[in-house]
Amino acid sequence: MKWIRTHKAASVIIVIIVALLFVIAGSFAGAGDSSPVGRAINTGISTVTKPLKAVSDGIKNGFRGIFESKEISKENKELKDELNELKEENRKLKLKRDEYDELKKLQEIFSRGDLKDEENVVTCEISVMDSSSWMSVFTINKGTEAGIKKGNAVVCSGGLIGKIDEAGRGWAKVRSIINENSKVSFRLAENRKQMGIVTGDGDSGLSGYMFNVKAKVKKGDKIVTSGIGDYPGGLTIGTVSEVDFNTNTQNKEITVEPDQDFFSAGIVAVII
Amino acid sequence: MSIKKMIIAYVIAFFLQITFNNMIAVMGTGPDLILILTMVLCYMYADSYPALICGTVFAFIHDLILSSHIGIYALAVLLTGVFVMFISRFFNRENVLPLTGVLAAGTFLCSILQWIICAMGPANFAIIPMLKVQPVLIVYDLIIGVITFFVIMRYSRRQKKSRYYL
Repeated sequence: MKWIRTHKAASVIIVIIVALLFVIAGSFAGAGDSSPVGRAINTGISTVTKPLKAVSDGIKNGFRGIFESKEISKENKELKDELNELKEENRKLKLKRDEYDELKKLQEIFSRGDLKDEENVVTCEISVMDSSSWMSVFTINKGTEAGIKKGNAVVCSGGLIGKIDEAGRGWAKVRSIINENSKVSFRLAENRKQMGIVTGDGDSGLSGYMFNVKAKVKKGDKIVTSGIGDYPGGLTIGTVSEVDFNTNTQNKEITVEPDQDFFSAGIVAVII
Repeated sequence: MSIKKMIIAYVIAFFLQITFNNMIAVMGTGPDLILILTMVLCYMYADSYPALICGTVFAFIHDLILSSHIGIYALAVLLTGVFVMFISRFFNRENVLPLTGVLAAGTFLCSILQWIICAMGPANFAIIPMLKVQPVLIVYDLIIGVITFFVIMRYSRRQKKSRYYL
């Protein structure tokens, strides 16, 4: 007791460390679910970050304009040609051009996927993402009010991006497929019988193995979700970049390059 | 630095980290502003417990919104802050050179601590990719840490103009 009285600050630090250890243990046991307090903080933060997101997007586009002026003038020329055609659609949709492009790509993804009639799609924006975090988790601006719940698949214009880890009012936490704890069952786009499992390799890529050791898989093959597990079938995951036979595990292992850029995705869609 | 100003600094760092960080990401990683601020404040001030607690609280909020398992980043920031606080006793707190070494060691330590804590539970992540981005992360943290140091130092030295300064 005397030590505590003389070392008050150090005692507080020790208490915080012990408390954090309990929180971490609880979080591991509870599969990452937040407490009501955590949910309330998440709702508050997602409200505050909305205007900040708009500012960051504005700055981002400004810098893009400076560094990619040539590309943009070329793009503008192409856009002028398409303007008449798109004018009517744009008027109806009242969306920004990039949003429109992204949604168009999303539509293509869904037309390839095996969505059931009862499955709906909710489009949302990524509101919070931190590239310095190791967890590959980001937050979107819609949640339970839109019918989003834990386990829902999330896609962006390039294909499957992750699944909902937790949802609250006005926010939902998405665990991306490049997270090492995400496992996705896949099949080859060209050969539906050849299946396997991929998981995040922690380096913005995916690695996994084929169920059938004799499966004919080669570099450049596209892989899509198999429909087994949380994800609907037919959603693009990525392209096989390396095939190797592991003599120790006797598995045909593959490395996959995701088709989607996780850090530049702006609009995503949640399959509910 | 007063606690009020310190909290404002943390709020700014926190919101910058969760909104603007991806804009300047290299190799998929950006500067860890909460960690940088904690390390710089723990280095500069002898009585830096408020900075340590403040950093832990903001790291915990960061965990709540951007992590599948809460508390890991907060604990790593807290332990890194304790390390910086301990090691800074041996250096001249007004000298920026030792700070660069402390920032580099602290950044690496924080990543390793997160990996160790994750490895003990179901939220493990691979160490090799984490080590691969360390040089980028360290350089980023060094640059922003040194800038932060000079900004705070400038603010601190302003007191010399005070008539009470001897």
